[in-house]
Amino acid sequence: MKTFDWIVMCATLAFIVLYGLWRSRETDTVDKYLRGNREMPWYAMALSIMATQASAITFISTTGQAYVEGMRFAQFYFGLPVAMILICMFVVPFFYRANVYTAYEYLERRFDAKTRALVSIIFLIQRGLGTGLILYAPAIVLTVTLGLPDTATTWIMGLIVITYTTLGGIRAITWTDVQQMIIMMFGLISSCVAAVWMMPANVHLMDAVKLAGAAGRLNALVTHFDPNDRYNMWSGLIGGMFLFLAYFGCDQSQVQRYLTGKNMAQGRISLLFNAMAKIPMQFFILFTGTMVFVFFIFEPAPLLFHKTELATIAADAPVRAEYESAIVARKEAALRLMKDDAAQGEFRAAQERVTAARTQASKLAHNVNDTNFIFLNFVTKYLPPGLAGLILAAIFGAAMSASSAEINSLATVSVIDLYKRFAKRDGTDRQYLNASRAFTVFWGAYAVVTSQFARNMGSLIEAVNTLGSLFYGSMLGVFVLAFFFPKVSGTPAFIGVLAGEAAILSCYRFTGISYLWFNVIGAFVVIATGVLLAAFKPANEIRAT
Amino acid sequence: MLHQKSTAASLKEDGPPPVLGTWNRIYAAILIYLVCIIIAFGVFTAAFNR
Repeated sequence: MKTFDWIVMCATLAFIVLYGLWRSRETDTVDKYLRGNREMPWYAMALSIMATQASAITFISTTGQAYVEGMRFAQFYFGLPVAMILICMFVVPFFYRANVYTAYEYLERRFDAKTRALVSIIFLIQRGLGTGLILYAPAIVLTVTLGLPDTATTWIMGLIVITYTTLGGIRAITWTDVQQMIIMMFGLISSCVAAVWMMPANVHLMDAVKLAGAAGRLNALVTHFDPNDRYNMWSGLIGGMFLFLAYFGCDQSQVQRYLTGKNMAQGRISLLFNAMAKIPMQFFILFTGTMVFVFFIFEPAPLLFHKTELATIAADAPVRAEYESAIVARKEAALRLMKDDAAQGEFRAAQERVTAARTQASKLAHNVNDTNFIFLNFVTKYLPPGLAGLILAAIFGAAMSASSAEINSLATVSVIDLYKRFAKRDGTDRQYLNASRAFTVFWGAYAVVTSQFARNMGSLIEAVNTLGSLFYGSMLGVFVLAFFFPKVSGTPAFIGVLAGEAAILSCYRFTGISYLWFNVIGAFVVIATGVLLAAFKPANEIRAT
Repeated sequence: MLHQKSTAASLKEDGPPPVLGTWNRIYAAILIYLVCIIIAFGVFTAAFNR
């Protein structure tokens, strides 16, 4: 990367952080620190929610995924609008009327202190471990691409995040998220335009679309139902809906975003904006990946985008010669296909040769999955000076926005649900503010330290998803009990959560069920256990909502 | 106390949606939008993915 790119990247990140801190000046009460004094406009909340979801690894992976297997991942978000509508109808009113700081605070009002404490601790365990992974995941990619040691990358990102999160609280996070989201979108649009622009002069946008389609990369809709196929219309609508219900309804890192609005309407609008914007945004990110794919038809792509692993394959290995021959054949077939549809079979055959060579190379290079390195390779090697720096700033920004939101939510739950509830009930506002800042530093440091162990955990994106699925089902189940089963009281709900966790952990340990189903299983066990136990509880134990 | 301080501000009534008059109409519009998106994805796939 050129010096100018480093300057652009550092200046952009400095601007984002300083702007966030400036917007969060005079954060001198707990309410301002944890809920932004409930003054946040809907658009800031909406962009903050989007930025929190878009971690760096998602940003990098999604484009790479389109390169490798097309646009089918977009269907994963079909369940999001339905989930957002249900949350706006049933969850947002409960939280706003209860005037809570955390989602789990509501559980004590509805059930009892022990259920609140249990779910809070489950959240802290899950998110505490997950935040380290979120911080470490982009570091691997950036390390390989930029040559920075991963320890240095995580510490630099960690210290920046801890600084602005500790000083400015949720207001700093929200306003930095807004900037990060704008830069992310600008970076993606620029990348897509640049990918098409840098193709040979005789290749126009519609030619690029035709080639991507001929390679099967424009598969945005798959309608057949197959439970083993992770991304199709039905898994998106049903599985995605459950996942997003749990994520936006029970995860404090998201709930805290829409609780910063001045009223319920602002919270609802921010969520519904996401419901409408997310699918087109994902479509565009994936489309950018397909344009990068077409770009590499004309610009010789490396056999593997993971430089270190590529170096482990011998220079005279037959797979290298086969790959070189295949990409030349593919380029020639592509040029013919642009003029004559009859060349489609020839193009597909060449593409299959390229894919087969890459698969073989991956096996030779310790089964490396280089999906996450494709987009960064394109950015750092081909984009004009300045733009590459801006996009890397967007990637760093995405990592920071996701982790700052997690750290802030961990501190909020620690202070509100545990410290204030069980350790210091009659403290002053200043004491709680100081405690919030202290917990922010603690969780930030914890995330940085745990991220150092993440390098031994294999596929990080899978580790993050699996970790979340081990706990989301129980959390979703207990909130469904709280909202829709008024006869279920505290102890049945508490036992239900324990039963749900036992069921999920048993599935994880003793069965081969895909982790995507853990949310459904866990929620079902919590609800069934709670309802059954409540049937045997005396009526006077039922709490008012 | 935290809650006493901010209760008045937080218990403001729910405001109307910015368009369409009621929230239920907004939800219906988003469901229609989702159907349109799925149809558009289908048309896009059928037109370009060979």
